[in-house]
Amino acid sequence: MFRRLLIANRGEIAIRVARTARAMGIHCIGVYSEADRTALHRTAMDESVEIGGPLPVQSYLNASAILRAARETRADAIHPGYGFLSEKADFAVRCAEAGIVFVGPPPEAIAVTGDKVSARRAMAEAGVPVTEGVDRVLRSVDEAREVAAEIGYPVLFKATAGGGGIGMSRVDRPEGLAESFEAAQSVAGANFGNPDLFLEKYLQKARHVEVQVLLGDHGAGVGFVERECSVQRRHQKLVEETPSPAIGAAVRRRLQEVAVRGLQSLGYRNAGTVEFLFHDRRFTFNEVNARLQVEHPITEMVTGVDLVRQQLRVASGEGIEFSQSEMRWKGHAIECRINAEDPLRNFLPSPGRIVDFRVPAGSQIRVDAGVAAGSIVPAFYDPLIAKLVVGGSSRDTAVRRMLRSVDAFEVRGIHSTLPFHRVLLSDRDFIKGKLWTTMVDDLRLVARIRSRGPWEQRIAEIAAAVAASGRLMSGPTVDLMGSKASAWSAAGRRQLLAGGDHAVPPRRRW
Amino acid sequence: MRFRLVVDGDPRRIEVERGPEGILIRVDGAEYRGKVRRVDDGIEVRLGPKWRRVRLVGRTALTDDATHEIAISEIEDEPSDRALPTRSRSARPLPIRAPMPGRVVRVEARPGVQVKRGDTLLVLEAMKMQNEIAAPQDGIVKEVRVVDGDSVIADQILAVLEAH
Repeated sequence: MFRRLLIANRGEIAIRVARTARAMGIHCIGVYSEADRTALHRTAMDESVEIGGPLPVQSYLNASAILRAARETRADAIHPGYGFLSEKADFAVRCAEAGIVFVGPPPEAIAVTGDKVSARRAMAEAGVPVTEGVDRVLRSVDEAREVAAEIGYPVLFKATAGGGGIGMSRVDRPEGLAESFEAAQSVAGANFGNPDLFLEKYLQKARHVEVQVLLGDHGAGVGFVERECSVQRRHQKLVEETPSPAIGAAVRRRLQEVAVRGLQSLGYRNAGTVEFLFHDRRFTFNEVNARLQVEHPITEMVTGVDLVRQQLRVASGEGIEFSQSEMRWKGHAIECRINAEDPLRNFLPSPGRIVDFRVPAGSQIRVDAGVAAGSIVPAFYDPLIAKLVVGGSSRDTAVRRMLRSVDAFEVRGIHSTLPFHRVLLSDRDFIKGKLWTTMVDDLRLVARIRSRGPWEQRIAEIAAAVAASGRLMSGPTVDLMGSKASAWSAAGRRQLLAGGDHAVPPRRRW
Repeated sequence: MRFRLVVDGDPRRIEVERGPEGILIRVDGAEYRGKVRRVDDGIEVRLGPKWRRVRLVGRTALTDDATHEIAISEIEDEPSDRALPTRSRSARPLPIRAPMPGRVVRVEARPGVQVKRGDTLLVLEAMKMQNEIAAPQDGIVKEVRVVDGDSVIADQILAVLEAH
């Protein structure tokens, strides 16, 4: 096993990886940017190294700086977490050249899965059902038009280099095709430095299901019970659960078998996920995620497997601790992503200082957080601050436990997606397990959020009192009591703005 | 009435208006409606089913079950005495503010240019999301105060429109 592991990430995933690694007796080395000098993940490490400026390209995406830190701290392996360098084949190559083990798939497998057209082609060759579409890059609008007519609308443009839902564009009618093609090309070019697009049939009301796979040396490995991640907004997952409420034992076996075979055919090793769309009782390949995923804890909760431990074992040549036939799972698990975003203002990013952070606790409740009270959430990185994961003997039990846990979760100082989760968990379709990838928009779930919760109501009450007291603000203002407006107490206002610590007695004016 | 209110370190932008049925309070855009009345030792506010008493003493707000530390400040360039939408909408400077901290990745607005409501003035990136800052109404760009690559704080004025 490794002795010294550098964790090339930040936030909750860096902490989560360190937890397992340290339990295995591995010395953990963290890295951090200038903006993360006070970040929580540093405290989860045995030591940590500053690697560069606040922008991701200066630090967490800066392969040279990370490799330098690894050499200086004599790391024998690097765990990339998710995002950042986790799916950069050239980084995996550079690790190998430096004699450091990259905890992840081989670079060749990352390269094939990172190009969505080549991934599609490879999966089709391995006998994995793929969504109807083209297996080549579209060179022109005319070519796209021809293919779309053949497949039938609606169709979906996808960036071959895409990820995170960026560069996808749905086209419902031939008239909109040229415009969508050009728009998607420019988005893909701007985001990935590669404008190449291909096209697939757009499946309406599909579910997103995925299979966690773990492959050891010689490709022997296991497929896990599927996860369903249909609750999304702008192709970003918000809530995941396992198993899928729509999938029975027969389809489950087939999904696992196909996912394992698909990755084996690529020479894949270590943890990876094969994503499918489930539609009309059939599943078709969507993409491969060549990394440990954000939602891996729900799989851990129903199986008792520590996926990071297995990743480290595979990477160090020790192999997976169990076989497919030994794999057991029970119950149901759900994850809600707590993002620093304001669902009442169109998910506006909400960086800032967290002044209070209260997490739920209890049996079958797990919180993987990257922050604590006092933490600063910088504007430079992705908005995920915590993952709330709960289990239950049945889906109903898990949903109810999740709702109670969301109510007990409090984040003050910044806005979070907790109010969204409250609404979702009370939605009739969600409770019945009727899920589809556009349900958040179709059901107008966001418009149903009325309040950010009891803490904000308290703030509103204080704000009302401040406004009504009339002694704090200058000038004429809104008359809240319906009586005649009077002059405001300039003295009281000056004192408050200057930070005076005793009150001017309120003037009786009612 | 607009002001910035910090309660136990949690900062919010507040707007208060009197409506026909009572008061309307916006807390970072979320609306709360209710009533306010004065009682002997403070003010009572009803936003939900119950009246709640709030006493303001110096920099604290006392409620039935807690003491909160509060701080109040005006919003820069926007004195709290500015009447809300009632004022005439003829030519007046309209500050365009950053809705959150972030980094300017593209400036499209040019001084002197006529823009329509909804036109993108600039793009602000935060947390890997690009957010287009659009003109809230028709007008002429009077001033652009940022350039590509600038880091901005919440509520910072990015540009000024002369609305008409």
